[in-house]
Amino acid sequence: MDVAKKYLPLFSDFILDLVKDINKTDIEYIYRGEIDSKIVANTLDLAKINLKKTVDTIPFRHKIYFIMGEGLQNITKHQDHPEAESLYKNNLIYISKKGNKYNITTANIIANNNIDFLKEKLDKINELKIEELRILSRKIRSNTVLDENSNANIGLVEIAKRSGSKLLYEFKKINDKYSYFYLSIEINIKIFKKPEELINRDISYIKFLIKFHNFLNEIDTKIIFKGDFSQDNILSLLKMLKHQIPESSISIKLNNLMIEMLQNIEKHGYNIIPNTSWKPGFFMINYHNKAFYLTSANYIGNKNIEALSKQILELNQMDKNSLATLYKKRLLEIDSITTQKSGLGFIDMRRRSNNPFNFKFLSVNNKISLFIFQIIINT
Amino acid sequence: MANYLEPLIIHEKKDTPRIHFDPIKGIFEISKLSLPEDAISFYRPVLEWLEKYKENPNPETVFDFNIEYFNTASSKQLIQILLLLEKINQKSKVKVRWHYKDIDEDMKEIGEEYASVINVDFELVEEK
Repeated sequence: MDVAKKYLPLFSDFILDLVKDINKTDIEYIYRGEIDSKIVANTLDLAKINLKKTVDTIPFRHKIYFIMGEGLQNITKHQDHPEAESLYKNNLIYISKKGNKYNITTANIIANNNIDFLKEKLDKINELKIEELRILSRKIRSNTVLDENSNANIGLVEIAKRSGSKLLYEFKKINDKYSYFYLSIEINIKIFKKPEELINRDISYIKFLIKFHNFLNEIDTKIIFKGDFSQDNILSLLKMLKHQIPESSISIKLNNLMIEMLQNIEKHGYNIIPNTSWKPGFFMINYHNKAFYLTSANYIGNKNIEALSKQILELNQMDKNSLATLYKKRLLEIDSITTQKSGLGFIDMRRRSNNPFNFKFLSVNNKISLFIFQIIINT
Repeated sequence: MANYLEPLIIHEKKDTPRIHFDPIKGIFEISKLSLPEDAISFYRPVLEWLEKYKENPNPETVFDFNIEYFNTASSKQLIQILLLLEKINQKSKVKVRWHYKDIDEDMKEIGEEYASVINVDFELVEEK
């Protein structure tokens, strides 16, 4: 029987689509939840490490980093806080990379009566030539033009100027008082000679994102991260999660499981690009039907599939007591103290989650496969 | 005083715990987070220090495990510490205090498990 289908009727296709080829998946990072300065700082930490791996030229790295920071800070400065907490839990940071284009899209809540004003600002910026943006930016900075309403102007002007692309935006009504404000920033990392005018954008991108946002809301996605699960990245992701889920016995469990899951990828993952330590992985956490789902995907060597598969199936069939006995046995085994390869991680995860694991192998070529692994935690 | 071992203090880092062993003050504590990828290297000096302490321990040693999270790589090293404490307990009195947050059932369960495999006075201390 296909285990994934049994436990995952809803997510299997979605997840398979997302991870089919981790290297080609556009999504780099998704955060959905309340956005504040801590989340912005953590997102930038994660981005910094990933940029080093995905963008070769240092000036572009700086540029993307700057624009990202500016774009994200723009949200924390200007989001409206509706009374209903559930609304701003849907705020979104979406970072993707397709070919030579980096895309940073954010969605946040805005009061309907602020829409016209913001729209006017954005349209005005989009009409300006890059040289005009430069002059405007200088004027605002030197205070010769009164930035009449807020500092957002300078932020948006700088983003447009530095990215060289038009600011794509959309408003989607939530209720009589509030709307989502979608803003998408695009940076082409292969254009060295700056154009005179801002590059036009494909409006369909934002339409797609609105649909995708809806879907992420439906399955209550908290985080999607694609990248290298280095210790620094794991710690940043932990901080993110801590921020999203208030401390409880469940949040502690999630933290522990996430650490094991991601450190396991880092330990056993496959170096996809020779001579680098680049072990691309995928991680997602969402909440559905009163359960948290932690899903990971990473490459493994085909020669390891049989043993891994056997290990997981055996653990899946064990009950609480036999898991405890096995855990103690492995804990005390002398030979594994110095090698760190005791299989203790899987036993620990299986015990903490109290549910069988879901897993699937997708063949990539005759050397490697994609290992998709999922832990379910009932609340 | 000459017989006392120099205290061992390792400051906490983002993914490694704080170690505070001071025989004169009677403090033996591991606290904060323990998530190092290479737990073996981190715990090596800790285990070495305890090996030395074992030779000439205080008449009574109260050892506090006050760890918020630890990974399985660390759990292998923590059991080594406990096994050493078991040996120390053969010539002097050792008491282990395993602290856990009241909402952290898993940490309590791990404590109970350690208590069941180690032959020392083992107290589970619930913290708010």
